[in-house]
Amino acid sequence: MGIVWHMFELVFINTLDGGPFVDDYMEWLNLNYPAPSTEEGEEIGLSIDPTAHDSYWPYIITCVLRGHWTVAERLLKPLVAKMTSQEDKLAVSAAIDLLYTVPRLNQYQDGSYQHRAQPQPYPSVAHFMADWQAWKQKCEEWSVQTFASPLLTQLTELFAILAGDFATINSHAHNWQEALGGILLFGNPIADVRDAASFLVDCEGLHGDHNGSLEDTDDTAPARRSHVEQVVLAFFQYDLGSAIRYCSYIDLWLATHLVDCLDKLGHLHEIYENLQTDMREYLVLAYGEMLMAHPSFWQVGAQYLASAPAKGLSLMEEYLTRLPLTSERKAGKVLGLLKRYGLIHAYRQVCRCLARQYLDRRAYGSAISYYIEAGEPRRVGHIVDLLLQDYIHTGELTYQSIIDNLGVEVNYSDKLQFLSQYRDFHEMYKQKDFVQAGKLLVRLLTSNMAPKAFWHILLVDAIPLLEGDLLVFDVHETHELMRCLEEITSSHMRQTYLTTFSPLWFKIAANASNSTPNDTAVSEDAALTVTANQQLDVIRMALVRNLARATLFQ
Amino acid sequence: MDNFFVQPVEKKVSAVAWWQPQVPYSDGQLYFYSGTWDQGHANVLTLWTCPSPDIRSRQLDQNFEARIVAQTCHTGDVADVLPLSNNMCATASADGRVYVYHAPDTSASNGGGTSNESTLEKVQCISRLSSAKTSDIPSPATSMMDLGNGSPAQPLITAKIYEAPCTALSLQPHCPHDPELASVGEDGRLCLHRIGQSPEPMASVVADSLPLYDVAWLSSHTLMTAGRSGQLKVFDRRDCQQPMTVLVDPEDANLSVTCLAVHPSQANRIATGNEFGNMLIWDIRQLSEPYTNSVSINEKGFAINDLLFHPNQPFTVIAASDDATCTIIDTNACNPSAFNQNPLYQPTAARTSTTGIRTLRNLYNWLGINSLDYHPQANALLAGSDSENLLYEFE
Repeated sequence: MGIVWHMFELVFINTLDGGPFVDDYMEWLNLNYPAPSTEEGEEIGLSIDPTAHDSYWPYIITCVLRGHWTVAERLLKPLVAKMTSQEDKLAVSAAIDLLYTVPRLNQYQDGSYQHRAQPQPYPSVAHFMADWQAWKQKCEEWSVQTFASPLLTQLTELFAILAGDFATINSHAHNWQEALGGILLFGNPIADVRDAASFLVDCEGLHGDHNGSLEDTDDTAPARRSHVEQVVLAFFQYDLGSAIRYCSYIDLWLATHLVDCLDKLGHLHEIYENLQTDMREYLVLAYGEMLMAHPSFWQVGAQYLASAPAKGLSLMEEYLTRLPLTSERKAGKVLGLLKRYGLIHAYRQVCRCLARQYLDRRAYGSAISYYIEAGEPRRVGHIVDLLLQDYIHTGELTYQSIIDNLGVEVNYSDKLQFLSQYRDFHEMYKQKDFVQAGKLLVRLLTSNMAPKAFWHILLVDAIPLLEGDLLVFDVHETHELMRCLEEITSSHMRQTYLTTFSPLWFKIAANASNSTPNDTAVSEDAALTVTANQQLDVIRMALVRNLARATLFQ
Repeated sequence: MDNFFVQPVEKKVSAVAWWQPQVPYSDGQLYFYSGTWDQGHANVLTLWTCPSPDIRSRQLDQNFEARIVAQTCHTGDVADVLPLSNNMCATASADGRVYVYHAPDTSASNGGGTSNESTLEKVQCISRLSSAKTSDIPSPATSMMDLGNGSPAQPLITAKIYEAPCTALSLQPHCPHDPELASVGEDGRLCLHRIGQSPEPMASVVADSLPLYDVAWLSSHTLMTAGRSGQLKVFDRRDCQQPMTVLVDPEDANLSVTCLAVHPSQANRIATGNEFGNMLIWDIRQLSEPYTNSVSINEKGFAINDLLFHPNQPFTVIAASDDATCTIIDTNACNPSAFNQNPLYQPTAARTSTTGIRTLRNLYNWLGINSLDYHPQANALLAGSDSENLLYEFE
């Protein structure tokens, strides 16, 4: 992937100014396809007679093709002493000198490639071309010479390479990348990236035959090339569709980020028009979805999805709402992401899921809290009913801590407020503040804050206040309590009101009065209603007595 | 804006803590624990060592890297890790239990460069459900206790008991012998444990009906809890049934308090961070108006995941948040009126911006930072993040 990224940087970013491409290309070539090997060089250097080594000339020529001219010079120097004739000595010295004086347009930053004879860059391309043509002329002159020594059979070819002979370069290059390097170095050193692409037709390593065409005349040639090579070639040919396709064969991450960069550089408009699709969006979504499928990469996946403008957020919504939430930490992170991207619907859905989980575990406080976040007053009301049922069944205000911990959130729904104020009523009663407790009880009934099914419980709660020594309810309040009593007893839903919240003591009384062992639910409800009626009769009597006392007092 | 030094660890880090061995393995080495989360069954607890940076330059070597001394698989996410005495450490697990581990023998893991990894030996598994509580649950089950064989014991009767994730731990201060360990969980339960004794909690109370996120000892007999309700509750350990004091931020009463820290020398000073990125300093002696200083450490409302008081700079708080940054807050500079009664007050302008907030981040770490710790002797800040990185800053 590094090879592709490096070439992408060279072709699409570094060469925006249209400058010479050769230095960048040689850096890419030597970094990603290093040759010749240092070990081989050491082996040649340490041999008794390096010039007799089998790899001597191939090594020198590879060094020349790759721009390692200092190494080539160093290896050529022992050859001078081995030459017997003056002409041969002169030829080898000339080769060394030519390598030493190769004109370069720009200083190469890497020390191994820096030209020592030219400390300053050329002031203009024209100056450079004049020098380079003169240097090339010398190389061409030497390349047509013949030498007597059998050791110099390859020297002619070295001169031919320096003279920019494409056939010789191709015959010695190990692959098309190296051949292109040689062609750029010695054929056209001022070529920009588009010119360099035109030299690909001269690289024989790219084709199955040597007819010089870039089109695949040999059907097996493309199959032999790796995907990385295909991508690099596609970059040169500005065939972005193929480049992206081959990148996706290498790695989806590579294809996604490549397309993202190309999109930002403005190179994808043509593809968009041809394909009628947003390729960046498609690949970002594909990669994001792949990450979302991993159990722990969902945070990164969500970020990818969020960067796809058309469908990313909706997909992110779908994935995040389906993540298993195993802890508050994970839930908090998911909710944070949804809130950050404004996905309120999904946010509420996740809150509902969390609330449901807590409800299943009977953690009512957390369930209420998440249902409030989800904007679900009806479900909050349902939990309040459960808490009231719990109170009715046990006789204990187990929900006190929930109300305390919810803080100001109790104002979210009427039912929660009722729960809170009913807790206050019991607190006042405990502290023997009967008058205030009575007024609160009347307020709970008359404001319709209390559910009607709970009214008979509130009226039962009023009995000790009605029958106490202290006159708690005045005439008006007693009338209100009487009105409430009549409202539930005269309603057509009377049975429902009286049996929805059936206190434990009602049930005990109902079971005691019910002698038949095989009772149905209907008969149980009827028994409960009878018991509740008896209780209401007690309330009615207490209200009448209190009305009499209040009237007298008034 | 300063940069962290980043070390990738290939797992999301949820908890970090410096560990100072009683007998140092070697002078030039620092040690710390890290725990991971969200890795399914592949969560790990790891003991690391790293070279202490050059004292004069305080510069990290380019090849700086912490090395694993010992590692063990951890059942559930590691929600918190707390070094204890006697080469032990405790972890809060998302499976609802507290685990105690023993660090390997010092001679076997000398920091001199050996590459052999040891295993952290699990010596105790503490359930946060007491047997009384367990019996309350309708499903028949046995608590799954394990005393040191390295893997959770199999229950005699398989039954589904939900043990709410344990979220935080705190060790009782000023008690060199048998200090108590406080733990809180998502069930709102505050438990007190004694290491090496009963596998059940000594005390277990429902401190909150909403999940609790953090706990800290204020003194040897008072504790403070913080959680989703946004309430800070102070408990007396001798009577945990009811909180002694309940504190609420009036401006953000509905926001969860995600973390809290107690000042190292003034136990009345508390720092809290909430889910909306606000850091608040409290003085709990002034019950009528206990909050003294509020700082919003990020504009986009990312949650603060962890915070602590700088052990060497009493007016500095360090906070880690979900926006992938650590913020070093000079509370004096942020709100000079709050604390400048201090005669030793000197603005640390050289290292802080004009607003007294310095932010640490790294380009290669762009997911939330979950936990941090500060080494008082080495002046080293350590953090762990969801980007699967350990982060270092040596001041």
